[in-house]
Amino acid sequence: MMDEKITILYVDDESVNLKLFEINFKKKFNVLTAESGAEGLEQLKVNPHTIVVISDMKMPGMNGIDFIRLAKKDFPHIRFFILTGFDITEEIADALNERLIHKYFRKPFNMKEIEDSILEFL
Amino acid sequence: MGIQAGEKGDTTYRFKLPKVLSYYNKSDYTTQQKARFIFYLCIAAIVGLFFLILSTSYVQIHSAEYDGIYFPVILAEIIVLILFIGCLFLLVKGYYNISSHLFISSAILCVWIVMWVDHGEIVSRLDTIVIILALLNMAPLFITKYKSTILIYILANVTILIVFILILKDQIKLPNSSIVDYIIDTSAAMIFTGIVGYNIFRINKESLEKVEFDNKERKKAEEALKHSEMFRRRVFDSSEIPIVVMESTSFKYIDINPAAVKMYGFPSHEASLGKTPLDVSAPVQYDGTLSSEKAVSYIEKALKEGSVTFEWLHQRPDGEFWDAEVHLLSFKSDEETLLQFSLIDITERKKIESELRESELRYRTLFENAQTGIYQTTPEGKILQSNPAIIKMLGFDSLEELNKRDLKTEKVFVKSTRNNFIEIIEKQGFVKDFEAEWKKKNDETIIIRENARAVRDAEGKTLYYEGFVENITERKQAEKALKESQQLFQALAQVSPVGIFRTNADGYTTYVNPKWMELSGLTFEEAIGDGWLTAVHPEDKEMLRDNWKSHSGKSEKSTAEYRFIKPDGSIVWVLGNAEPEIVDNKIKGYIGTITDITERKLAEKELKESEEKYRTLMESMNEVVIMADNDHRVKYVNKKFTEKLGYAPEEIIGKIGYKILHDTEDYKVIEKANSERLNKKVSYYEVVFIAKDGRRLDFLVNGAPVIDTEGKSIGSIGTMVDITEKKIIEKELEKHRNHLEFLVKDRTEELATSNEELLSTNEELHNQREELETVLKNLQNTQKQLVQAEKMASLGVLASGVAHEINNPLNFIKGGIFGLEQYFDENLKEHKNEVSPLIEGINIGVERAANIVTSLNHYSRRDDSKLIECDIHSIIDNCLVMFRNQIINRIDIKKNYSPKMHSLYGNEGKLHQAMLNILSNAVQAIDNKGIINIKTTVSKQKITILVSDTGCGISAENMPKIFDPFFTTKEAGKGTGLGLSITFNILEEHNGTIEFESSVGHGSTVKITLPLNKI
Repeated sequence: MMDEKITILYVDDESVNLKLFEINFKKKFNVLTAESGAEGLEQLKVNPHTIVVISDMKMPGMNGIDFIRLAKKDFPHIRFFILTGFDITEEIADALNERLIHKYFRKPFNMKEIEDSILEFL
Repeated sequence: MGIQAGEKGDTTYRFKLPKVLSYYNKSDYTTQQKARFIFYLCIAAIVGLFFLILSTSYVQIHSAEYDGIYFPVILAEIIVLILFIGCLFLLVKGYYNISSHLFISSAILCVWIVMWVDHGEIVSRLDTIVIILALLNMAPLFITKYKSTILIYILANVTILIVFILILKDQIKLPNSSIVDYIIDTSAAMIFTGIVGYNIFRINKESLEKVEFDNKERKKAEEALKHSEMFRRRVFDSSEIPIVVMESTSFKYIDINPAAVKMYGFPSHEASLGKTPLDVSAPVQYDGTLSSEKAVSYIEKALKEGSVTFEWLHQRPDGEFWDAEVHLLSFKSDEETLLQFSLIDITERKKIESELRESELRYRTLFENAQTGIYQTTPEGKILQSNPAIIKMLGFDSLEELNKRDLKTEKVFVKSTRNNFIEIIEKQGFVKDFEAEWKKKNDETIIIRENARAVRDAEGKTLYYEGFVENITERKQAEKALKESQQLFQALAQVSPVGIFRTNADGYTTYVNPKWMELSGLTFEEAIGDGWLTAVHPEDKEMLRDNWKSHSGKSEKSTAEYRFIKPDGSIVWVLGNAEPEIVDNKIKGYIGTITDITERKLAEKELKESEEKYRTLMESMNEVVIMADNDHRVKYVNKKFTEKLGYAPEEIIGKIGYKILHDTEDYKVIEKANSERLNKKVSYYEVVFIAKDGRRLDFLVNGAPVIDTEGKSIGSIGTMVDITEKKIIEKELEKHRNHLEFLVKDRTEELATSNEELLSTNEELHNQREELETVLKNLQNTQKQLVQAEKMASLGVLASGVAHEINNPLNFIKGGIFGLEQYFDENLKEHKNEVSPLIEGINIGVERAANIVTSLNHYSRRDDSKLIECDIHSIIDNCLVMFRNQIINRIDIKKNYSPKMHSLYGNEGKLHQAMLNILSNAVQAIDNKGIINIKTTVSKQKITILVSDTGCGISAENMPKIFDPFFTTKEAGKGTGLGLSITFNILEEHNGTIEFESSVGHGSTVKITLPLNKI
């Protein structure tokens, strides 16, 4: 089972979101979660086979883009997404332009859209 | 031949006259002949008559018939003899005519008397008449002039004959008929003899006259001819004009007059003959052609055209060159063509011409190359002459171009100085150093100086002006610049905050400015020359005088600091600078400044005193003092340092202090402490020092930064107290203190934390209060619309926060319900139908809430999409398309778009959204059927859009709230209440305005204005 499912990492400071995300996607993907960017980086180190990362934008400490920027350095093969409660901001737009992130999703999340985007990548 | 005969006749054919007739030597030939004839006749007659007298006397004496001598006859014969002798005498005396007529008359009378008195027989007496006839025949021989004299003789003899016969008729005794017959016959004979004699004389005389006339004519012609030839020869020889005749083929001179010989410089006439023109010519003529060729061409021309005149360069045998004008002509003489020419010496003329030409060339060169302008102009302003300098001066390309200029009408002369010029020159006859402004071709004005004179004719009428012009523009400008510069210097010197002075090359002061006088306390007059020294402080005088004397005459700068003592006794320190003024490598003088440095001097003094004070202080201090720079190098140590640590200042200064004085483990402490000095921090610390002899000493160090005048830290100073003793005691105490300290520390930390919290709260509150105050201030100061805008802006910040906060819980719900739905699908399929509507309800709720939040995001969102040129009409049309379903068959849209071009830059998407909201309100306001009017007007700066509907309208009560977020009159779920407030925000972003007018039941009108060409 572990070998067939791809591993994705979801970073959000709201644990409820992490829980729900995990529940909803666990059948399709091997879902890792982290409550902060720092934790996310740790997770990636431990799980180098992760190929998709979805991160919340507004988090204490590192925000989503900062985290992704760090992670991208060590894991350039991973595809990064942002899931935000805000509308698009300049920072997100810049990250899109730099190809730092592949796409951004809006909260409340649309499971179908996220799933399609991940599958599209595969 | 005739000439020769005539000529010789005088000598050869002149017969010899008897000497007695020499009187007739000069008479004409006929007269001489006649005189000779009469002479011999007379002699013959005298001799004959003598013998006749003798014979008659003899006869009469001896004849019977006569009674002795018959005296009447003899006496008559003797009278006649005497008459004949008289005739001869007269003839010899030259009275030829009297002599001849007397002779013939006496002969005839003698005959007649004889006849009268003769008593002989009649026949003998009558026969005597025959002698008369013979005598009459002789008449042409002695008559010289008047031939009619012959006829007188004839008539006289005929008359005597008739009278003789009539008187003697009785004596004769002849019948009358015989007498008449005799008279007629004898008269006829006499008359015939007379006619014959007359005609002989006439023919003879006329022939002689004719011969004589012809002879005279010929002689005359011969004389004339002789005279003419001589004249010509004389003219030729004596002519002052050199004339030469030469052959036309060999060109050899065949005749040459003395003037020519002289002019050619030949020794003699003979030496000149046979020469040719080449012997007298220069080898080459004026135009460079060979003389031989040139001569041939001129000779050919003369032969062809008869004559030619030309100038010829000659050369004399002695080599001297001379010029002549040659008049060469050809003529014919005895079938031979000859050439003759005359020469006029034009050497002088040529020389003068050449000099004149050279002189003109010289002046022309001068004229052409002079730097000074030279001109001739008429009083009317016509330019007769102007040299290149003028043309250049006025910026023209050629004289022709300049000549097109009319001095009178065109403004060559600025300020109408031409009239001024003419006035002066006409009055004085000249102008001297006259300055005027001229205009160049390119309208540039130049200043010139001219010297000119009027050239007048004999009547005093001005012909033209001629003069010299100099362009003095640059000089003038330089003068002006110099003047300005001098004025500037004066002005600057007057207001200068430093004292200024000037001296001549010998160092004598020539000028001082007011500041100088103020500083020295001297007046201008007192300062001049060497006077300034009086104000100098006595102690400085010598130094200054020496300094000044040693510098004067040299081209170097000099500076000196010295004191002035003012009359009030106060002392002023000044810094004097002097610099030579060098003109053309010569020192013209010196110019210098003096600056008041009293304050600086005082400060220096104070500083020195202060430094002294502190040094003494530090040296006598009980503490050890050490100073180091930022690189930890020791700069200073005091006496106490040497006492305590054993190092002399020279052993430690300039070295890295801590490396000598401390343990390796303390290096970091020192470096850190010193580095704090850079931040100007003061710190206390304890550290162990190692003395020169190895003793370890505890010091309490008070480190402080050394700050320079610019406020920068340049090092540190440490004041240190030896606490070695104290340390030992302290260690004892420490043990007891430790416990207490721990307690205090704990407590302190607690307090610190709570204090920190309080501080941060306080700060936050403070910040919030400030924000509120700002908002309040703005609110108070803005109009209603601005109030609205502020509200929206702050709402935007709020909304974006709210949106994020709401989105997360929505995410929970959505995620949760998605999970539940999945769960039911998989595990509780039988409950699906019951649960489904519930799930659906939750989903719709989440959806609606998400929509509101999305709308709220518009407040915070500053769309960065680029501004592009938008066509408001097409935006409206696009929006109308979206309402097609709601409009069709229900609402009549009337568009009245301005045809004017307009250009509006904006965010097209947002403008779409704004118009969509406005139109949506209009459409929704109309319940059943109605009209929407859309009108646009374009002015220079803005576009106005009027959208009016015939809908339900807005009540006065609702009017103020329409822009409030979430205000809606629509039923729940149909509108968010955010449309107009978002529209308001969008329009505000575009610097536009929106106004509503409405009456309930009649409809509303929305007026939107947007500025053109910018946001």
